[in-house]
Amino acid sequence: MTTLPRPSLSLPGRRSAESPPWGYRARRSLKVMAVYGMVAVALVFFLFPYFWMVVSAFKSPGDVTAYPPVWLFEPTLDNFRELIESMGALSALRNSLIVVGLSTCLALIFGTMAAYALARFNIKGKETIALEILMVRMLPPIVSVIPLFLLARKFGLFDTYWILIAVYTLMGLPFVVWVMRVFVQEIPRSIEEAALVDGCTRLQVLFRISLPLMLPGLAATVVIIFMFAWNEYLFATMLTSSAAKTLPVVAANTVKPRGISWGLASAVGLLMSIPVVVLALLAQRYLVRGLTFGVVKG
Amino acid sequence: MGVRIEGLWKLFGGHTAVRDVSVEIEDGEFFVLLGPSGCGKTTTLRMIAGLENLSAGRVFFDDEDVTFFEPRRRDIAMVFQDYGLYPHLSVVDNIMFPLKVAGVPKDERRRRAGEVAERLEISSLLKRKPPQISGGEKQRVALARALVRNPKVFLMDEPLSNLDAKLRVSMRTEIKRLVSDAGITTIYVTHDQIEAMALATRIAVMNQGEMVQVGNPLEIYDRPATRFVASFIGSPPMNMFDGRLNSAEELEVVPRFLGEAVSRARVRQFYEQAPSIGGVVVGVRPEHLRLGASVGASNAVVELVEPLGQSTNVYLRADATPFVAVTNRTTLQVGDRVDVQVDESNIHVMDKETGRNFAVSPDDGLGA
Amino acid sequence: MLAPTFIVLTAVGIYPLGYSLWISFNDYHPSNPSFPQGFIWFENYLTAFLDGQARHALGLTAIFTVSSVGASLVIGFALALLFNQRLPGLAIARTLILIPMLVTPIAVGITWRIMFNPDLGVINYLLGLIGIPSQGWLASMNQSLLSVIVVDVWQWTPFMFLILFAGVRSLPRSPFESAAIDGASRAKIFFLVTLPMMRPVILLAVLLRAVDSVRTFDQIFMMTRGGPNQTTDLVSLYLQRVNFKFFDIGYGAALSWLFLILLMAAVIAFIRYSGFLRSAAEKEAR
Repeated sequence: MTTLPRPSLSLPGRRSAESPPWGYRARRSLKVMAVYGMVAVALVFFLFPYFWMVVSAFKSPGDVTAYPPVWLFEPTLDNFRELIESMGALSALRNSLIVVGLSTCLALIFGTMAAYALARFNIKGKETIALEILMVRMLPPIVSVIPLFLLARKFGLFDTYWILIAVYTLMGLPFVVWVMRVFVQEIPRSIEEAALVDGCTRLQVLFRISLPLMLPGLAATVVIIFMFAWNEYLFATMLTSSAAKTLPVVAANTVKPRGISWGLASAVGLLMSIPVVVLALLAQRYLVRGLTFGVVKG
Repeated sequence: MGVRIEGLWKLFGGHTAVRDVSVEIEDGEFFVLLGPSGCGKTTTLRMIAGLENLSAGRVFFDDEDVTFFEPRRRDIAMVFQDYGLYPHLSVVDNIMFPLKVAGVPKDERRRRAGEVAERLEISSLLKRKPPQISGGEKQRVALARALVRNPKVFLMDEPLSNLDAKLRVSMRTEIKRLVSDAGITTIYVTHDQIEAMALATRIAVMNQGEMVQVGNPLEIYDRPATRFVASFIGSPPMNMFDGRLNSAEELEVVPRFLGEAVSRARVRQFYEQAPSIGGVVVGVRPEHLRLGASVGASNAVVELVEPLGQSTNVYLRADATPFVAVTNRTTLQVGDRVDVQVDESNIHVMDKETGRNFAVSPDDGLGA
Repeated sequence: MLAPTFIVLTAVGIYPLGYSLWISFNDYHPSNPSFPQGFIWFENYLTAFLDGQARHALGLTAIFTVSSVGASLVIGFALALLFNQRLPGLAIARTLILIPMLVTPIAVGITWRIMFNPDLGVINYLLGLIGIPSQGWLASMNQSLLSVIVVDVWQWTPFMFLILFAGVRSLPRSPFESAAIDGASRAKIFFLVTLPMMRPVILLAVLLRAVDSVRTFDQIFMMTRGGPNQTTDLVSLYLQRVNFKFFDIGYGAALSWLFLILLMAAVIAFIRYSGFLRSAAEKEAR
């Protein structure tokens, strides 16, 4: 409350109280309750399957297939142990990290360079560029996986990191170029010019001024291209067999001809979701811009 | 239609935006809510519009209690600071929108929109969309949309603040003409005191959520009820000096010529109103200071001269205290010594603690 | 500065595509040398036009995409409006609701397959609690397509929501207040003001979502492999079978190209019709 002296008039019959005599708060509570009710329904629908996956990951083989389903049980780490011991999850994790990490970095570096060049020159036919990039994104992977498979065989790249890194870099590039182009455009030229006048070289301008200003854009794109590469299955399964096998392939392998190992499948699903969820939550503010090629601001 | 508000309160979290505001606005009045940003004037207007929930209080249109009416049931029109045009609709569709939702037949909609557009001279813009027209044109479209439906009350929230200075003045006169032609009760929010003076039949000055004074423009100007009102209205602002009412006989203030200008009888009047002996603020408007050519007696030195064409601001110093005077064209130059005089009726003496102006009797201008 | 991007695009993008185009004019069975091989002009494409299976897959893909995108648009928009209220706790709920789109599609497929299990699945169990008899879900010919659509809606509605919510949040406030004062009811405000003002964002969200939806593969591959009785045999799954079960690579390539051309035509038509890229470019120019 205000303690500052306020210019006010002490007049008979007109005294300012410190709080209103009565309020209208109650009128809104019904609507508020309705909103919370609907939010609760939405949360249950969108979170239950994930919850179920998490719970199943810690169930023993007996509990996981029990019917009616058991809600209280003794949690076990057996599923995770088996993943590591007999499914090769550790080496797949290492492969995933190498492949996804390297391709993300490459796409980011190449793409940002291209974006910077594109944004600082006035290029005609923006609509066409947008269209082309959409086309790359639209391309069903099943279309290009066969030729890539054949080429990989031909050049001895099958079941190596290199082929997957190349593919994922390609997948990420259109995103990086398009999103970063928008972010670069938002950096006022006058800032860079001011730095030039102040005595920076072109390269110093890029590293000291432009790059720091592009960080939000980089955060947005990193999450998205990381997510797509990390979760990618079709190329991973077609272009590798064992040495360069990544985590999605391990996940798919829990489905065997005679049935699914429920606990194992849930455990690997949970493991895989952790880095993506953490990254996405960290960069949540920028997620929308990345996903919409920078068009919609979050 | 008359508008009456009683004991309006608005709390945002722990912050009180509007504190116990009551006022009665008569049918056909052009009523201006004036105050600095954050004083609660816009919030008050939005509560009258029904866009903001009240924390407490009542709103009446004539004698009907509309406190809990949704905006659409209040039969009002509003012009927003950023105009509030529908970006996806053409100008003519924007103007016709209120009629469309009211279910007016298409032919009549077109006719009435055409008439209003004619009156506001925007007939050539009808096919365009808001992003394609200028700020002044948007302003006219917003006015047309408000005028087209003959509302009971007009609400305007700083409608001219996004225009450049020249356009602001011409739109100001236009608004005054349009509204007085239509004869509709208008409540107008602004932080620009000149705009308020030019437009209003009555002004309510607000500060820190409270309505400090209500009155017609000249009343507010001549007899500001508080130090805040006195300093807020007028340009250049009123000169203010610290002083003391030492006794029923003596007003002590620097520069001394001010105290000397006040007669004993007048000092006694102030003294009787003051709650106790103590500090006061002495105020005098720049245009009330008369600069006499220095014959022998001189009490001030010219420090700076701003010739503005129709008037001249002269910055002076007397008894080591700076102040400003407004005169006609003058040949005064920096360093000249002048004799400054003032009528005692133009000297305001205000309570240092409460800000109350002793030169104005308590029931003055606060009849609202 | 453009060189590295250009090289990667050419080597990994355009070269394989060209190679694929070449294969599509060939009879090519790498795993079975006894089959006829070699250049056969347009024979693969002619076969495709007569392929009832392919048409069936195309129809299913259309149904799948339209219903999934439609449902996620409606639900996503409703959520965006719901979460636009400024109430404590909603920010956390808004974050949690994004989780489905972050989970690996493979894992999503497996998890839902487990939950959909007609005998031991938790969904039939929960429905049983409120008196609804067990359903076949993925195993039933009538419900399989619906089931995979539900999963797609579950996973991607958050994506829709995220974009639409950003759109709703960025709307200016005064047109809505104008409309309320001009006498419009809530419904009228929604249809006459909210929807038209959200149009560009809605079109963008629909386009991005549809483009992803047509190529859905992982989840459905994990759940049904196109079955039962090919009731969920979308184009992507049919292509997979042609290539890796029948090893008819030339024919698969031809089908892929036809599908790609159809898709591009649809996307270009959509963009031309909506004109939203133009308006986005206009906005940029300003």
